[in-house]
Formats: sequence, C-alpha cells, structure tokens
Amino acid sequence: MELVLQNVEKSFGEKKVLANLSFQFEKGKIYGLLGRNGAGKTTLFNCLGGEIQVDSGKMKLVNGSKSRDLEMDDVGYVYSLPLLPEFLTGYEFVRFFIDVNVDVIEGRGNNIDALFDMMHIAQDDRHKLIKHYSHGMKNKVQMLLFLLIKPAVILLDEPLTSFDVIVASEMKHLLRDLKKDHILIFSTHILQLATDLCDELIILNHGSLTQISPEILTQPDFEEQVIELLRNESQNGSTKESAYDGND
Amino acid sequence: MTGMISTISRIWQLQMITLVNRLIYFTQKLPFVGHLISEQTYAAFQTKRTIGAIAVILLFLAGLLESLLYFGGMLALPMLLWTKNLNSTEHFTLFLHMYFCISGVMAGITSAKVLESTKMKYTSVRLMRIIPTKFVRAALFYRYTTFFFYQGIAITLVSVLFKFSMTHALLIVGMMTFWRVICEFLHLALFKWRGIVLVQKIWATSLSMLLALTLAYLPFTILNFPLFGSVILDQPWLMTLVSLSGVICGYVLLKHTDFTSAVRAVTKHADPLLNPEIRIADLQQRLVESKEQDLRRPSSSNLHVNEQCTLEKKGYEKLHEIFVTRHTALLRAPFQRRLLAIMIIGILLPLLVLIFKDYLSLDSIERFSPLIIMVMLNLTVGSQICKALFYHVDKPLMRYPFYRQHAKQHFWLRFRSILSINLKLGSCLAAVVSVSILVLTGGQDIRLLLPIWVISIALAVFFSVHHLLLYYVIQPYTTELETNSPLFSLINSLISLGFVVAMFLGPPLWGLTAVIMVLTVAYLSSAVLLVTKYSVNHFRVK
Repeated sequence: MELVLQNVEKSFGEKKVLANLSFQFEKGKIYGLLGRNGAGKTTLFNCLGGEIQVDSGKMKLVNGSKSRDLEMDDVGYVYSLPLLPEFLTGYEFVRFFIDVNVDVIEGRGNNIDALFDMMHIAQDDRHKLIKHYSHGMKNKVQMLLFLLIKPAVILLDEPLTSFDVIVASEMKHLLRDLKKDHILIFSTHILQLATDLCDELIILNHGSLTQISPEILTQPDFEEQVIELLRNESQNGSTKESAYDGND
Repeated sequence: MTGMISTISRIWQLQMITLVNRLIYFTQKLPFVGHLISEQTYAAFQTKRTIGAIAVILLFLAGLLESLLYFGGMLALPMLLWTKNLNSTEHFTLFLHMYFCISGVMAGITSAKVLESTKMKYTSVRLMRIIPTKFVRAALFYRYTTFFFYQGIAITLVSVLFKFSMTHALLIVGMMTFWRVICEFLHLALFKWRGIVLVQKIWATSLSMLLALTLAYLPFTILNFPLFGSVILDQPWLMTLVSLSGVICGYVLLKHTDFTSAVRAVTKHADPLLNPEIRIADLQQRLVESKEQDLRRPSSSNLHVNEQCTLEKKGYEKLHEIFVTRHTALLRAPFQRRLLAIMIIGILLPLLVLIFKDYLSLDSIERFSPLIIMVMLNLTVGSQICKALFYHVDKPLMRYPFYRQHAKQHFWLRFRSILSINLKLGSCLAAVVSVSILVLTGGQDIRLLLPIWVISIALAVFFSVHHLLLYYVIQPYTTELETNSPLFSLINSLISLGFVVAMFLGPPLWGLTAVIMVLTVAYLSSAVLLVTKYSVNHFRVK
C-alpha cells in the first residue's frame, strides 16, 4: 500500500504553504518529516487528516492496481499534546471508542484488558480518571486507539518529545511494531530521534518534500549535513536536487 | 525637561504604532476590503506616520471632549435641568460644590497616574524597557499639563453659559490641578509607607464614588443642604496653601522621586487589569470547571464499580450519562440560579400587581407580553451547558473525524437534557405569571392563562434548540472559552431584534404565540438538516 501525493497545493491568503507537492509514502516504513518552524509540517498533516481542504492536487491510497482517494477515516493523527476527555477513566474512554466505532473495529475490541496490556498500562491505572494520567499514559491511550481502528496512515506530531526514557523506549518499540501494517509519518525536530526511529527522512521546505538519501543517515557527520540541507533549502527553494546530489 | 519631552514623544510613538498596527490588523479581517490590505502595509512607515499624526490630534480632541462631557454632563446639565431662579453666584456656588465632590474627593481617591495599572505603562516599562521613573515623570507632566488645559477650556465654556467670572473659574481649575498633584504624592506616600495601592482597592474606590456622588447631587433634592465644597474651594488662604503644596509636591515628584517600586507593583503580567483577556478566560474556565466532589461520584476508588454499573448503556448515551453524573454540581448550578430568579419574580410580580392593581389591566399585560421572549432568553439554560460540554467533552473529541460525523447522535441526547431543564423553567415561569394574572383579575378572567403556558413552553423548546444548534453549526468557542464568531453574535442579536419588533407591533398574545410556535417547529425541523450538513466541518476546535 502507498500513499501518493500529487501536485498538492495549499495557500493561506497570499502565502503558499504547500506548492506542487508530490511524494510517495510506502507501507512498512516510518518517515521522519523534518522542516524548519513554519515550513508547513502541520499544514501538511492537517491536509492529510482532512482537517483542512487542499486547494488542488490529489491524495490517493494505492494498493496494487487499486487506487482511491484518501479519506478522513484512513488517517490517524497522534498529537504532541494528547487531548482526551478527562472526566472518563482510560477504560471507559476505550470502551466508548469501541462502542461508537464498532463497524470499523471488527472485533479487535473484544478484549479491552488485552489492549491495555499491550500498551503496558497497569490494571489500576486503567480505572483512574484520565485527568490523573501522565502525558505518557495519555499518549499510550491515544496510540491504543490506532491498534483498534488500524488507519492506513498514522501521523505523529512530535509524539515523543516530552517522554521519559522508559516511555520513549516503549513508544519506539510500539511504533516499530505498528509500521508493518501502516504508513507512519513522524514529524520531529530531534535529529537523533529521527535517525534512530525512521527508515526515511524527508525535508519539507518551500512547500515541497525532498527525500534525504539513505546513505546520509549512516554517516558520522549526519547531523551537520541535515542542518546544512535545511539551511540551504530555506535559502533557496530550488536547491531540492542538491539534497540528492550532496549524498552521491 | 528635554528628557521628559523625549519620553513623552516616545510614549506617543508607541501608542500610535500600536494603534495603527491594530487598525491594519482589524481592517485585514473585514469582509470584501480586508484582502486589499496586504502584510506589507505594516512596513509603510510614511503612511503610518501620517495616520499616527492624525491619531495624536484625535487623542488631544478626545481628551478635550472627555472634559467637556464631564463638565457638561455631570456639572452643567444637572444645574440646567434641576435648578430654577438661581443667580450666577448661586450657580457658581453649586458648581463649586459639585466640582469639589467629584474632581477633588472622588477622583482624588480613585485616580492616580503614579499607581494606575495600564497596558501602555506595562508595554513601555516591561516590554520597551523605558526607565520606570522617566516614564512616570513624563506621564505626570503630560497628565497635569493637559488636565489644566482641557478643564480650563471646559470651565471657560461653563462660565460663559452661567455668567460667572472666567478668571475665578480658571483659578479654581489651577487649584484643582495642584490638589490632584498633591493626591498623586499622597497615593505614592501611602504605597511607600504601607505598600497599599489605593486605586486598586475596590471597596475604597466604590465607597468614595458612592459618597462623593451622593454629596455632590444632594443639594438638588434637599433644600438648604450645606454647600461645603464651594466654601472649601473658595478660600483664598486655602487656594494659596494648596497651590504652594502642589508646586512642592510636583517638584518632589518630578525631580526627587524614584518610581521604580511603584511601577513594578502595578505592571505584573498576571494583573487582571492589564490582561483582561486572561481574566475573562480564567473566569470562563472557572465557571465550567468540574467539581472534585462530582468527579468522585461515586468515589474514585469505586470508579471500576461505576464502570460496570453503566454497562447496559453504550456509546454516546453512556458518555453523556457519565458526563452528567460527574458534573452534577456544574450542570445543576445554572438551573438553580434561574429557579431562584423565577422565585423572586414569583414573589415580586404578584406584589407589584396588588400594589398597582388600579393601574393595570389584562390588556396592558397582553401589550407587554413580548417581554416574555427576553425573559425566557435569559432564563433558559443552554449557553453555559454548551460551554461545559465543549470544555469537558467536545474539545478533546472534536479532533476525531468519527465524532464530528456522529454529531446528530450526540446532538439529540444533549437536546433532550437541555429541553427537560428548560421545560421545567418554562413551566415555573408560566405558573408565576399565571398567579399574577389571577391576582389581577381576582380569578375571574383566565383567558390569558392558556397562551401564557403555550408560549412559555414553545419558547423553552425554541431556546433549547437555539443554543445547541448554534453550538453545533457555528462552534463559536475558542479553547480559552471566548466567544469568537461574528456570525454567532449576529444570529443572537436577531433574537433581540425580534423582541424589539414584537414590542413595537404589539401583537395579540395568541398571535405572538402562534408565530413562536411556527418558528419553533421550523427551527426544530431544520436542526436535523443543519447539524448533519455543517457539523462535520464546523463542529471543531477553532
């Protein structure tokens, strides 16, 4: 399965945020999306998630010879600040989620406790109000929902930034487990995390996406090279090709 | 002096730039013309300078207008309206008394530049790093120069109107200017002595306002009330003493006073006077916050048991039930407040009817029956419940597409809840009005009772749909619970407009009832279509 973006454009007033953006994302890979502040990462995520409409272009899910438009339900969005109804317990929220999405979940929600076990959420914590959950636990609950609905594309907006090392490690394992069935696009500013977790790195600048060559990820001066690329990209949007050239 | 003038000029520039930037920002938001104003407009220095110069002139005129309004509206107008056969000396005496009470006593306590908390002071000192002492010295100099100038012009006009000595009047304004400088000094002395910022003590300012205004206007109601204000202001020796003290205080303030601690005390970021947005957001959030006792209902240790208890309900129904159970106090409060208001109406209305029985008739009640629209608008619950729903339930869930797609399901659940509360309130109001009608007619004429009940019930349904439908279709709340939608305000103002039209036309009660019923049915039927059509895109966090 592939997510294919063709000539996607999005402007806010005079400002063109996504300009003729084309890219192909494959299932089984985690894509690290890099870009400077204001480059348009959140706009791209919001377009993919159906939160905002693109001005033009196509976003398709291609599965072998079959192809269809990307729909809202195909995308799961993990926010950096997970928002969950705090007056519910984690257990109540998951049960509510299963109840109202029963058609999509197809029996995967029959054993709620098994799902909590998978996310390493202790028995007592499941029945605490979400209000009293830590950031990490809220994020785990958010991720648990994707185990249930299995969206084709999962967008992660800086999800590991404020986790302690244990939770971050658990989340990384979980993401690696998830990638075999999904297309994961991971937005981050932390290069170390991106190289550690992602299979591909892409840079968003001047409204278009540029893939960084896989070889660059293994080089010792990887960070310097990526910083240089980001700097060059923001100085000149037309240097897209140099990202490839620089790695060859 | 040069330093002071340059600080004043810097404050002006800052004020102008802020004003012009704000003007550009809001013009950009206007429909049709907004797109003509590009981002580059902020860089048009020459234009901004010209607009700034115009704004400075307008600010001067506004200051003058303020003084003219004060002298005209609060001092001259009462004398014109409420006094007869007074000569110019008597007018002057009365004028001085009022001027003493309002400008000397009230404003002396409630206003002090040195300790006032303004956004400009905050921006200048905290953000633009103007030295606090320099800022306050410049502000004081500017304030009391313009004070004399503006009030001098205003009192000259009043003296022409009432034919009293212009020179004498100007001397009084000069003395008042010096007195207010002394007040600044005293405010600062109190702050330095006890750390008290008197202008921020609501009890002190309210009490002084109440007393000063009462004393100022009492001579209009009580004959021979001693006009002590004029006696004080018209003493030559006191005038000399105040002027000399004012000069000394002014000199000390402008030359030998460090204002750093005073300015720091009133320019804290969290100060609600400086950041009303924060205060409003805090207040809104406090209004919809869950009560701990509700969240422990049943106790948090028993949450697991509670989860099992509600097993028979599923999905949105269960979500709603848990929300109601864990926010009982929050949801009950608006109902109880309104019930209390109806009870008070229930006591007062029949009493008033009894007292004014001879002047009232069923026809006059029928003529003013459109009032029930405004009463029900304010007595029905809706907006506060919608805010609570937004804050606790919808804000996190609106991000999920499925939640927006299923909007119709939770809309009806919530509609039923709100409707049941509003029907109770509508019935209580109808009962209260019915009692008053029965008191008026001695139980003899009951023809208005049925339409009163029908219209109350219809309005209860109407406003239940109204609040919830607007919430689902427009979703006007920001994450800070501010209402940020012109369309929302416009539609709400249509209700008030409808009321004004109804009051103007004065239709028979049955006619009004029929119109409300038709509108309610139409509103209710359109709700289904509107929620289905617009919620997917509009029921989201702005």
